[in-house]
Amino acid sequence: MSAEFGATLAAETLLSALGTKLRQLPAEKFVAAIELLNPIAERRTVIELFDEARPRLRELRPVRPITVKRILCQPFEDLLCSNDRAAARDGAVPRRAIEPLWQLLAERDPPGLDRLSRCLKAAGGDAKAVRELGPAIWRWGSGALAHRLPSAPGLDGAFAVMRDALASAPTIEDFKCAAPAKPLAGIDEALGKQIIQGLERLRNEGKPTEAFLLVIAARLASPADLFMLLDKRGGRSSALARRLDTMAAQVVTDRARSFGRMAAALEPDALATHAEGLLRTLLETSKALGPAARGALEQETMGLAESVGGMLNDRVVVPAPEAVERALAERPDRATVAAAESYARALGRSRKIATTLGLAGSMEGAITRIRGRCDAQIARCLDELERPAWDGETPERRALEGALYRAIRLIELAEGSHIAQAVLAEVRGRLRQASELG
Amino acid sequence: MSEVGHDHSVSTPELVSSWQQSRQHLLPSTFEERGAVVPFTTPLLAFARVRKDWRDRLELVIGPFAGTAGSYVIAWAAVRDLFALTSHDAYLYEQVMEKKILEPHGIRLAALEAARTGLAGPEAAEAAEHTLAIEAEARVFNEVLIILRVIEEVEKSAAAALMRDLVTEEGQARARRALGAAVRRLDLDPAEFDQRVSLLGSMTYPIGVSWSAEAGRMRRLMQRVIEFGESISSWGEARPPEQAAKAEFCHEVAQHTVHIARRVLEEFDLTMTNPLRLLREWPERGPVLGRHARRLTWLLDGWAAIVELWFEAVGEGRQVVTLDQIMPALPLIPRDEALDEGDRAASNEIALRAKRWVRMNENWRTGLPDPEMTRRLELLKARLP
Repeated sequence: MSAEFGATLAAETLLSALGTKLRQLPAEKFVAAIELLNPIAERRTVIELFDEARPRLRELRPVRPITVKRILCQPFEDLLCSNDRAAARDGAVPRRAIEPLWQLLAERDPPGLDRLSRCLKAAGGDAKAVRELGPAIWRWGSGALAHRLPSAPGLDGAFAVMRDALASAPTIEDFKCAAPAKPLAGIDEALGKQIIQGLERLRNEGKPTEAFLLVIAARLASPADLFMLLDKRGGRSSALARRLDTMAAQVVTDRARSFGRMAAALEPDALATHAEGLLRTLLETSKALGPAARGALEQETMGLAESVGGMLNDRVVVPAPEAVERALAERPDRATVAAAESYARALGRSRKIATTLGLAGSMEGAITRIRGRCDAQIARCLDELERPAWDGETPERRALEGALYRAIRLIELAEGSHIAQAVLAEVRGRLRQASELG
Repeated sequence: MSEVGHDHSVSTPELVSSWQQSRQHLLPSTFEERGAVVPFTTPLLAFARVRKDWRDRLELVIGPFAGTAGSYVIAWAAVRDLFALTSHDAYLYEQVMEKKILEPHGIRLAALEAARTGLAGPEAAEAAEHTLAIEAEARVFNEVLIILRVIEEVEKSAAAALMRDLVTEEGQARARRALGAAVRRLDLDPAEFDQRVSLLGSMTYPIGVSWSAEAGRMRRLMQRVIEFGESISSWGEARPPEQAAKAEFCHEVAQHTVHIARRVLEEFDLTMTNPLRLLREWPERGPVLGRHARRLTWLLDGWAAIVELWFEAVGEGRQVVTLDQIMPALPLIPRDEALDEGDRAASNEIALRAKRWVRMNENWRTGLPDPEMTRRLELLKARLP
């Protein structure tokens, strides 16, 4: 191995390791770490590190320094994708497209940029003043791109999306302010109205509508919801349909890749939650796509269900009964109980997708084992507690009650509240009876 | 179920007086009518309140959901049939029903007992165990501080000597003996006096006496409500207009509550200035102090969870969602619980503006269970004071 290659490999390994560490930090520390890195955010290695941590950045949205460039990118920030794509998919904007665009704007109108930078500096920490500067910055960008776009291999489509997003920026940003935080769980009546009003406004102003719709699709947990809205309002034009289809397929593919990257670091219940969400999105989106995009999506996600199923089997279904067994031992520590609950919760959440993943049999087997063990614990504890010898609340009695309720809790997490409540009702009934007789 | 608290719109000047009258129905009239918050972990029942109906039966009041503007009132006995309760909630539900607990302090103790079982997870169980232990210590310490103040009023030098050993059990026992001696010197019945001291102690320990070096729980909570108001107001300044308006509204509700709570606390502290006289004249003065203590507990009921929910939300995305979760849960002051006309007008104005924002968690709207929200509510329990 050459020294150069070795150094590159070492750097990549270190970046990946740092990215993993960042993803694992508690929320407060993650935000603090990002704030430490902000002053050097333009460096290539830091950009790549942020790419690794992108899912958490999206979730937690730590404060980032406000620059003219950052405000310029706001209208299409939801469409940004990582740089590991050789060519951008239709509707997506690789992050490496930002720099050539910025260079073109800076060269085309240096006095304009200078004026905007001074206004931003004058605004200082006044959030309202900064927000009011947005439309001026987007107009500046849109105007400068009206006649000529930058040129870079594989980025023509991306530059066109960025230009259209800047032209429609006020409508896009108004929508983002009014809508709930992403990912949007669905499109209710109020949100649907906002989308339609946004489209009408853009059409009246002679502005492009596709970037607006691409941003909405990117912010939805399930892009299929947008298709249903548009179909109800009279369908999508074939050109728009193709772009939205591609966008939606990409959103799902990105999520699948992101899941693959972060799965190893996830606790069992988080793993099950993300797996369930991913498969549900895949199913709903696939149903709503046109044939070409559906085929492409199926191609991209071939083997996904098997892969997710294997992961859940190895990391949840198989180890769960033993983890629960450890928590049912006498006086387990908090970490042991928390781990058992994570497994039980993961089993409970995975039941909806068990059949799709071919795990129904093994999952039911694991739950049956857990239930049997918990029932045995409950029976043992009740036998002890029903004895008339107890003299008030003693530490031994408290320990037995703790073991009893711990077992009920694990049943609840694995099988559901309605089942656990029936068990609880019976247990409470017997304890009450024992207390009255005692 | 019944729906209450609808808004009424005004179309002509002739309707102004009836509009002003109907505005009053935006608020319950008393704390008891508002109900005490029951800290359920079932998301749809988060911030729900228990109260009595006109036939003395328990009922549950649930805040706005499914895009509505009103609250829903459900017979307590029907709650388990209508909602898929978590096991923890089923346990708590039974406790409230069996013991007919209707006030914040009792609900809090029942909630701690429910959490201690482990049915809301190990974090909540450990926190509940710890809190109950702290509570027991605070109760003892509060009583000892009262005893020392009484001794000080009778015999200053004895109190100073006892103060040094206050933290030990032996020191506390000596303080009680000294109290007994002081009481006999004053020609009072020691057993009766002892009982009054115990009652005074249990009535006041959640608030704590003003001369304690460590502030009592209610005083600390009041401070947290102030911090919450300042934090959310400051956060709102950098947000788009609608979110900024909601954040400022939260700040105003917090400020209004603290404004009234401060005045109640002043009256409480004034009554407690001379505990010897208070104990001597217990039949007349005891109920007055009790009213101040209960009022303060009711004023701050529901705030602990709101404050912790806000400070636990890290990152812009979570904060925006939390703002919408907090809004319908804000404890508005009932119309007859304001101290004067100015406060009453402020309460009504706040209630009117509260009706403008109804935005609920998507899953609540569909009625689907929300495991993530349940887990968040369970972990929130572990952070509550």
